[in-house]
Formats: sequence, C-alpha cells, structure tokens
Amino acid sequence: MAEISILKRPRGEASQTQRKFFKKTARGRVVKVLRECYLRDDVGCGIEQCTLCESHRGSRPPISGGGGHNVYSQNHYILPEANTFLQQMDLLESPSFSPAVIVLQTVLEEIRSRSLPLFNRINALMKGEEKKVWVFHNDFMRDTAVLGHENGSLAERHSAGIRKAVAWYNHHLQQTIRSHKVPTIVLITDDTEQENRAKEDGLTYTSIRTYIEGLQDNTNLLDILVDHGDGAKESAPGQKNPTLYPEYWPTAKLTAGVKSGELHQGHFNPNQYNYLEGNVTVPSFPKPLLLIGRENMNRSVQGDVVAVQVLPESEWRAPRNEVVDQDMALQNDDADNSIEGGETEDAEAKLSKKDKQGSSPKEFNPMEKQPTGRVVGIIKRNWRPYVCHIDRTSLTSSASTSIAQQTVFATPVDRRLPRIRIRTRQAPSLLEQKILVSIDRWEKTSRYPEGHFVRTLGKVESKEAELESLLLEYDVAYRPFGKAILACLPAEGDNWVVPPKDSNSAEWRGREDLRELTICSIDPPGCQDIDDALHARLLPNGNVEAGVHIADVSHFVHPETPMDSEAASRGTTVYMVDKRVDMLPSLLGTNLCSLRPYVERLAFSVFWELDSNAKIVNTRFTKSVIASKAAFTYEEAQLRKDDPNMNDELTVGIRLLNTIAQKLKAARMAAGALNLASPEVKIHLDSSESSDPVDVEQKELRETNSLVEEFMLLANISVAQKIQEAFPHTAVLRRHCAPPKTNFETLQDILVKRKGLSLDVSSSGALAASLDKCIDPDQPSFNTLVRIMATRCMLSAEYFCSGSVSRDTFGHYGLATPIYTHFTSPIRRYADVLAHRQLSAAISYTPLHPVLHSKAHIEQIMGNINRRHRMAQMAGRASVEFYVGLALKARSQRGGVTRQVEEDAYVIRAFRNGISVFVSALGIEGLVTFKHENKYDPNLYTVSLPDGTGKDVTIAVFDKVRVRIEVEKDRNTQRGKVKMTLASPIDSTNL
Amino acid sequence: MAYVSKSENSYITTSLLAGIRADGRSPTDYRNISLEIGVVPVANGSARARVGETEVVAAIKLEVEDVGEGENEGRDGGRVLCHVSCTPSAYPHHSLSALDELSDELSSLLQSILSHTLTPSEQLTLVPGKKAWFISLDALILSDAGNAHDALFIAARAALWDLRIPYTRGIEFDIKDGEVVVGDSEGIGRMIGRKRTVDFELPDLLDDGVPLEGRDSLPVCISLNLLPPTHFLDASLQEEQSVLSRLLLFFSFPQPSPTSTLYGTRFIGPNELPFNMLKPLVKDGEKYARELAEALNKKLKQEESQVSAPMSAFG
Repeated sequence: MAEISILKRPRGEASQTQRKFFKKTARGRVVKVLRECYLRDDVGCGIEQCTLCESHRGSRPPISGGGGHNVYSQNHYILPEANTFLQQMDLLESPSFSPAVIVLQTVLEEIRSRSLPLFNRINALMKGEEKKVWVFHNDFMRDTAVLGHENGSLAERHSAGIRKAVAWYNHHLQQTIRSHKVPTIVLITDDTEQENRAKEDGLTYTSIRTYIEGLQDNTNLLDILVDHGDGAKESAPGQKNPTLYPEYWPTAKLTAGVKSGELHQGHFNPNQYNYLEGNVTVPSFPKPLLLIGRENMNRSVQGDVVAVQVLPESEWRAPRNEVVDQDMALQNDDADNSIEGGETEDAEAKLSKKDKQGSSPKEFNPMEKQPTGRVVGIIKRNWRPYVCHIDRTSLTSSASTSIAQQTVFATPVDRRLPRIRIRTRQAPSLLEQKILVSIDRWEKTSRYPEGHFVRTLGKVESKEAELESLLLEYDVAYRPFGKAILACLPAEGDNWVVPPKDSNSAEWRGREDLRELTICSIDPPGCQDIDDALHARLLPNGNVEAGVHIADVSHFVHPETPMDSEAASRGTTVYMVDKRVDMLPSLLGTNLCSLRPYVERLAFSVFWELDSNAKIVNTRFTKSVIASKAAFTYEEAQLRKDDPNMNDELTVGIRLLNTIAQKLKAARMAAGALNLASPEVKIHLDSSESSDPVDVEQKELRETNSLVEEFMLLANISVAQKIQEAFPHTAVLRRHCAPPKTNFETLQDILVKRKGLSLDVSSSGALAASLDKCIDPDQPSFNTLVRIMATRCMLSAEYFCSGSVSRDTFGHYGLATPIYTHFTSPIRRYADVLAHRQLSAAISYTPLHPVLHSKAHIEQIMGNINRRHRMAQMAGRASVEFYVGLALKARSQRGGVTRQVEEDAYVIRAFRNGISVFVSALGIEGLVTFKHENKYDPNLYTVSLPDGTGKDVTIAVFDKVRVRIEVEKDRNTQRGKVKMTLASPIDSTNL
Repeated sequence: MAYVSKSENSYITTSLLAGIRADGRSPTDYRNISLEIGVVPVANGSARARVGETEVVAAIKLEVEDVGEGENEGRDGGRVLCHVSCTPSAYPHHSLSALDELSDELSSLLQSILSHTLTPSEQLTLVPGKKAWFISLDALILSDAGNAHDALFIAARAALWDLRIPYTRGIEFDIKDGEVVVGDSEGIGRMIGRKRTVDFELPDLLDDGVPLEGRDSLPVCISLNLLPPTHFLDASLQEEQSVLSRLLLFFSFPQPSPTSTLYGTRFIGPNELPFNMLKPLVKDGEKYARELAEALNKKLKQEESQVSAPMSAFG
C-alpha cells in the first residue's frame, strides 16, 4: 500500500495556505470561494536522470530530455505557459514536434478554465504514448506553490508561480544530477512582462517562434506555428494599417447589453449567395437580423455566437438580391498585403459605395424588409479546422516553385466562409491538395482572418480526400471504434445466436416467442442494417392484428458503457453515397441486430388490433424473439403484391398491411398531414468496387414505401404515447413546431404575383389543402416545386425531452400528430435507443437507468443528437452533390465525345445579376450568374435580360428554363463547382 | 436561570452601593474583553468577542440584490439585515419559545441601530438603480455570563470592521435615444448617445476588497445598570439578576471630530426611570462609550496589522 502522509499546515498558517477569491455567478451573485491546499514535499519532477524523485514517481515513467536544437543542450525540457497551449495546440500535436514538455498544474488549470476542448486535447496528448509530456503539480508542492494573498491580480500570481517552478527545477536538478550535463529547463513565453521578470530571475526563456526556428528539423512546424500579430508589426515598422473593422466591445459590456435587451445574441449565418451579407436569428424578432457589409458583420465567421446592435428602423433594409461571389469580387487582392489597395478600386469597394448611395427604400421590396443591425462583439467563436484549397493566384509568381515562406490565401470549401490568409513554406506542393486550415485570429486592420496550415487531406477530387473533407466539414466522427467500445460487444462475435428457448436464460426472460409468425422486412435494395420487420394477420373476430418488430438494440447496448457513450456522441449513422459511417459497431448493425431473414433475432414488438376502418382497438408492446421469413426490396414486395397468382402467407400479409396502410394514410391526410417534397436522387454506381458514378436518376416511390412508412409512423406514435405516460418528465420525443406565418410571406407573395395562387398557412391542414391546389396545367412539376419551397419555409423537426417544454408544443406539424418519437431505427439513430430503454421500463421489462430519469442529462443528449442529425443530413446531401458532379462529367464525356448536358430547370429565385434554379432531374440547385446587373423588379420577382436585338427577355420566378450544366474546376482554387448557363429562353453565355 | 436568593440579592446590592463587586472590579470596570477577527474564513467579515465568559460570534455574508420596490428587494445605498441567535447552551434555563423571543428582541435591537448607521451608503450601491449590496449579519450568542448586549455589539462591530467589500467595476452601456441629429457637413447622421451603467464585473484581483467606510465610528452599546443613586457597568450574571433596571445607550463617535452621536436609548427593567436622572446618565454613558470605542479601534487596528510573514524561499 502506498504511504499517505497529509501535511496539514498549522492553523496559524491558514491565511497562507488558503486560496480565496471572489466569483460572480451566472445569476449575478458574488460568491467568496475558499480553498485550502495541502502541500507536500514528494512531488516528482519527471526528469529521467533525477535520482531524488525516484521514490515518488507514481505510475508514469519519467521523460527524457529533447534534443535537436541549435541553441539548447542535447538534453533540455520546455516548460510552456498557458497561452502557448491555447494558441499552438496544432503545433504541439504535430507528429514532428518532439521536445520534452513539462506542463505545470497551474497551467493546466488555466487552460481548463479558458477552453475545455483544448484542455481535452492536452489530456489526450498526456495520455498518449507518442509525446514526452510530464505534468508537474507545482501548486501542491511546498517549494513551488505560490501562497498567501499578496495584492495583485490572479494573472500576476499565475506568472509568478511559473517562474518559481522553473527556478525550482534548475535548483533541484543541480542538486540531484551530479554529472556536468544538467538538463536545461526552457521557459516558453510570449509575454514581454514575463520575459523581463524571467530575465531578472536569471531563468532560461524564449518565445515559441524563436524556439521552433532553432529546431533543426522545423519545416513542417513553422507552417503550423500560429503567429500572433507581433510579426506583422515588425515587418512594416512605422506603417500603420488602417482600421477596417470597428473594435469589439468588452465582454462584460456585451453580456450586460444582452441581458438588458439592448443587444441581441445569436448565431451568425452568412448569406450563401452574397458573402457581404449575413443573418442572425434572435428570439426577440420574428425575422432574422440582417447584417449588411463587412463593417457591420465585423469579422464574424459562420457559426460564431455574436452580439448584435439593432439599427434605428429608418435604416432597416432588405437583402440585396444580388449574387456576390467572394472569389470574383476580391480576385485582385494580394495576400501579403490585404489592406485595401488605395489606387485601384476593387469590386467590393464599388459594391459598398453602391450600398451607401443607393438602397433607397424604393430599391427593395418592403415585404422583405428586415431589422438591420451591426455586430458589436463576439460572445463565442466557433472556429474549427476548415477544409480549404490554396488560391493559386495568391502565390508569388516567382516563388511558385520555391520553398521560401510566403503568405497565401486558403479558400474554404464552404462558400459561407471568408478566405483565410496563411503563411507557409510548402505552398507549391499544396496547390493540388485539399488541406485543413485553422483560423487563429482576425485583426481589425486585416480584411481576412489569419490562420495556419494543419495538414493535407489528399489530392483534389480523389475520393478519399473528398470523403474525408466532407466528414470533417460536417463534424462526423469517423474514426474506427476503439478497444473499449468493441469490448462491449458479445464475446461470441459473429457466432452469437439466440440460445435455445429457456425461460431462465437472460435472452429469453420475459420474451414472447414469435418465431412461428410470418414476419418479413421490406427495405431499399442493398440494405444491410435491417431495423424493422412487419406482419399482419386476420383475427377470428374480423379485426386485423398488425405488428412491427424492431431490432432490440438495447439488449446489446447498455446505458453508461463506452459503446453507449460513443453512440450517444455519434448520434446517428451517416449515409454517404459510397460510405456509411456507423453509429454502432457493424457487428451489431449489420449482423446481431439486423433482422435478417431465416435467423432468430431479438426484437421489440408493437402489436395493434385494428378494426376494418384501421382504428386501433388495442395496442401492446413486448420484447420478443422473431425469425423473419423474407427480406424484400420495395420493388420485390410491390411485384409480389400486384401478382394475382401469388397467394402464399407472405403475400397475403403484405396485401393486408397495404390495405391498412392506405386507410392510415387517408386518416393522416384528413387530419392535416403535409405531403412534403424534398428532392431525392439516386446515384448509379458502376460497380461496388470502382464506385464510379454512371448516372443519376430520381428515386421512384412505390406503394410499398408508403406501406412501411405508415406502420413506422404508427409505431412511433404509439410508443411516444406510452413513454410520455410513463415518464412525463423525461420521455424522449420528437416534435415539429408550426412555422411562424411570416416565414411564408415571401412565398405567398410570389405565388400571388406570379401565378395568382394563394397559400393558406393558418394550419397544416389548410396548407396541405392549398398546396394541393397549386397546380399549373402547363408545368406538371410545378406542384412539387412549390412543395419544395414551402418545405424550406418550415422549421426543422427536433428531439426534445418532454419535461423541458410545455405540453401544448409537443405536436408534430408535418405529420399532424399530437405526439411523436423515433423508435423504429435504433441501429442508426440514438434517440431510438433511448426510446427503447424507456419503453422497456414502461412495460416493466427492465428498470430505467438513473441517468434516464435526469432531465438535464436527457436535454444534453437531445441537443447533441439534434445537431448530429442535421449535420448527417447535410453531409449526405453534400456527398450526393459531389457524385452528381462526377456523374455529370461522366455523362458529358460518354462515348468519347464531349457533349453538353442540358436539363430543364425551374427558377426559384431572381437576383439583380443572376437566377437561382432547381434542376429536378438531378435534384440539385444551381446558380446562373450574369456579368452585368440587369433590370430587376423586386416586387414582381423578375429579371430582364437583353436578347441582343434591343428587346428584353423577362425571366420570373417559377419559369421553366433550360440550362446547360458543366462541372468546372475553379482555375485558382481547384475547387470543383457546378456551373450553369441559360440555354433557353435566352443564351446567357455572353451575358 | 441561576436562582439568586433574597439574602444573596441584598448582599450583592449592598456591596454594589458601596462600590464593591464580587470579582473586585470597580463599578465602571469591564471584565477582560478579547477580540478575534476573521474567525469564519468563508464569511466576508467575522469576529468573535468575549467579555468575561460571555461569548458572541458574528459573521457577515454580502449578497448582491436587484434594486426594487418590494420588501425583499434591494435599495440604492444598500440594505442590512441582522439576525441574532441565542443558543440553548447559553441559556440553559430558557424554554425554546423564550429563546426565540430573546433572539427576536436582540435581532430587532441590532437591526434598528445598525441599519441606521450603515445605510444608505454610497459604498453599498453597486449599479445605481439596479444592483446594491445586502449585508446579512448573523450573530450567535454562545454563552451569556452577563452583559450580552454590549458583547453582541462589540462582536457585530468587529465583524463589520473585518468586512471587505469586493472591488467591482461598473459596466457602462451607451444607449441611443433613437434620435438622429443631422447637421454634419457631409450629411451623415450622428447618434446622440447617453451612457448608463447596467451591470458590474469583478476585476481579476487577489485582494479581498475595501473595508467599510467609517468603520472606526460604528456604534458601541453601553449598558448602565441602574442602582440609584449609583450605576455600574458590565454586570455579571448574578449582578444582572439582582439589579433589574438597565439603560442601554448606543453611541457613535465620528472620527476624527470630537463630537458624538447618540443613536438610541433603551430602558429595560420593572421600575420607572425619573426623567431628571436621564441627562447625567447619558453624559456618563458617553464617557464610557468613548473609552470603549477607542479601546476597540486601537485593538482592531493592532490585530489587522499583524500581517502574516512572507513565505521563505526554498532550499
């Protein structure tokens, strides 16, 4: 046993060992915090050669000193300040960074209080084997703790503590290491004050830049090094850059302003068409706040939480209805000196001038007027590493092959992000690559944010690089499952089977034996993770018994295990065109939990007894063992159902299910459910190996799709009712709030003006009815188009905890049901796993784990899975878009002849200098831009183009046009983009 | 309560009339007073006072309150709430209800005197019209060997002396009137703004804060035990039981001026106090109170200056 000695200080010294400080709580109270610290003498220094600390090293081996430095000895250690970790984390994590690092406990605490994510990254570094890191608990060590409360700031005490630790190390090592090769401890600091003090104390110190520059192998590291402002000033002494952006207000003032309602807080959301405009949705205004121009957006980056001051109403504007592309507008900017070029007025300057003179109220549609504001501060940055390309033109021409350090632009793949300026030595080799770039800071004197290169993902347009960049962009966790997670799987692995029936075995306890039931599953072709299976049969009393059987994932995934936490954090399986990123290890997803045919599987079953009108007479839930009799594709099931010669049990069952499903659907529609449209396309892959897309087609919907859907909805609703009854405060539910009526204003206006149609948005039923009437006999797909546009006006559905919101907001608007949850896909959605656990507890099968009784816990999970769900959808869509691009390329080059792809498209939005169109055949949206501004009527949503003969051709929203589609690689950034040009009614190639 | 027999009573009163006390003190002598401040480290100010065997602990918690009209809302200039608890061990013969009654009585006495001397004070306003400090003072009578009143006020006074009000910084916020004044030669409107403090923040300092202003002129309580024609100070338990009439005087001595303020008087006892006696009693009381206040201030300053010695360097 370890000997424990507590060295409690005598009471007389209490005033020295106690640390006290005041803290202001979130509710505005002031709390005095008092901590007593027990100091000890046996804190290990972690230096390999040290003979004194051998006895109290703890479980970690000591670290050896680093070398390879031009200035410091072969055996030296660096001791960085908290700021170094906070700013240079990428550098420290880089595999090429090898010095031995001593992390002080006080430094760690400081990092934790300032950034939890960075703290976690450091923890990972310390736990990992690759780096030499030693944590020295200086605050618990008698000789190094800074005690007493000398007046001064916390920061001063912090710095003093670091110096004290360095001094102690020097002293300690001289004592313990007898040889003349005493290791050097190098303090890494960028703070001038600290440098001066360290000099006074006779310590060895240096800045991180100087240190890295002195390393013998530093090419990779210098690129990752974050430069914090000082460098630029040195290079251009005397020349003061003009301030481009207003200064941010101090944090305290921002919080006070937000609290008092003078300021508004929300997520910054840039306009995808115009990089000089952005939106912030705030609770106090029905419409989002509009931010126009660089100064008003004030260095906000997509996703940041910003504080906005609303301008007086006389200055409110509408969005400019113009497509402004950053790459075009700013193509002449020089990366080295991006301050506004004084001589030549660039496109952006012209734009902002126009903004100032024009934008008289007449120029915009008063319907579109939005409260307008300016960003006065950032509450929280949400910067992450961004996938970028290097802008070729920003390379100095002479240096396109040299390895000298140069400043270049990195253009993020996400169009809503600004270009990032980075300094790199490897610019030429990065040109054809997709790279990851982090933003470090954005000075008020610089038009662009400054960042640094993190790593390369691979060659542009290679599938691996594209896939990884999508996963990174949408924050999808794609690492393979770790050992601890895999250890949660059944030991039998692939050989696991349902044991022979025995009411004492864990598997069979309380389960119904449904192995004889004629159950089948209907899924898309190639489906490996079969969540659900169905059956139906006639009962003697003339009613129908229908059953939905869902994979019993909660039998394998237990709460609070590593596998459960991982699934909770992944939230959902992400489907890309050529890859599926699983939420659960594939042993479960595609085997043990997948309800494959002809094998016994554990299931969670929902039974209904339905009368001839498909009204529910009785509902029952049970855990069960099933053996599916068949796994159909939608098409197979449809063919079977339609084949009058087939009359086996399975086919009869499908027919029975189908009749009920039709009645259920009719009832749902009558209740006001919306039939929404979202474009879905299918990518044909050549073969599973090559995964080269051959073509794109729209997904076909069959009756059987609807059959499965109806029963899943019914199961979800029944389960939602049950768990809400059992756990009114913590039930995991899903809702879809009714959209604010103002969301539809623009669409309504367009419909009235363009088509003379009206849209009744008073309720979902009214909307459904009026959507049905939106028909243009000349344009069969007009209705679908309106549905797509209406869907975009709505809010997105979300998971929530039943105790967190009031009962009357539980409803699902789109489905027109008062309560809803997700239960039917536990293999690929975490919400369903929770619903399974709650239902299992509700039928007294298993007790509910305590964490599922905690509202706070559920709320936290809901927040995460809502976000993951959204991200997964976007990632999936982006993946489709990428493949559509590849397919288009393939199509245009088929047979060796280059042909242009032309498709029908519908105009969904008109701009001054362009139109946004929707190509239904490909399910993509595109932008046709014109070089010049044209006659634009914001009230009628039309833009008029000269046809060359002096006449104008007017194009309006909803018009059907023909567009030429080509995939073009941006010459500078290597970013592949779909380029569309109008082919009819007018050729826009030269416009 | 320890019973004092008639003969004991007469023995004590007769001796007192002759200026003789059982413990050998003169009629105007206090027993030993001991003071300790900072006894409760988590409190914002605290003290323990002992007068003979009478022991009182007082601790202060500072709270931030929103300023408002309601009874339990803060006021500009701060608010004070005093609460005294008499422990059963200090009054072994009291029933619980009698204890409560005594506690309430002492609480309201302390409250009425301190709330007038401490508030309103600019020092206690955090954000005018928005936030103010609330001083919550709790005193605990651990043992009562006579003269609990004086001891209570000594403890409360020392705790207030020890009180540190954290440094705060007001956060200003410009709000615009919505009026735009045009008149600039370039025709650009200018906002006319006014500033308003809306909230506060704590600066990142290790220091405890500032002491209460005028803490050296906080009131003291002097109990004059009346045994006409004479009076005596700091009665022991037996003396209190023999002599039932007491005049409590609450004096404060604004520094450095030689004046004094009488904040209140209270008469306790079965008999009446003839009016003509009051004036000389107050005059004598002022003298004793001044002596006590000066002695306390001196001692407290001394206690505070005993700053802990700095830590020695390692090695």
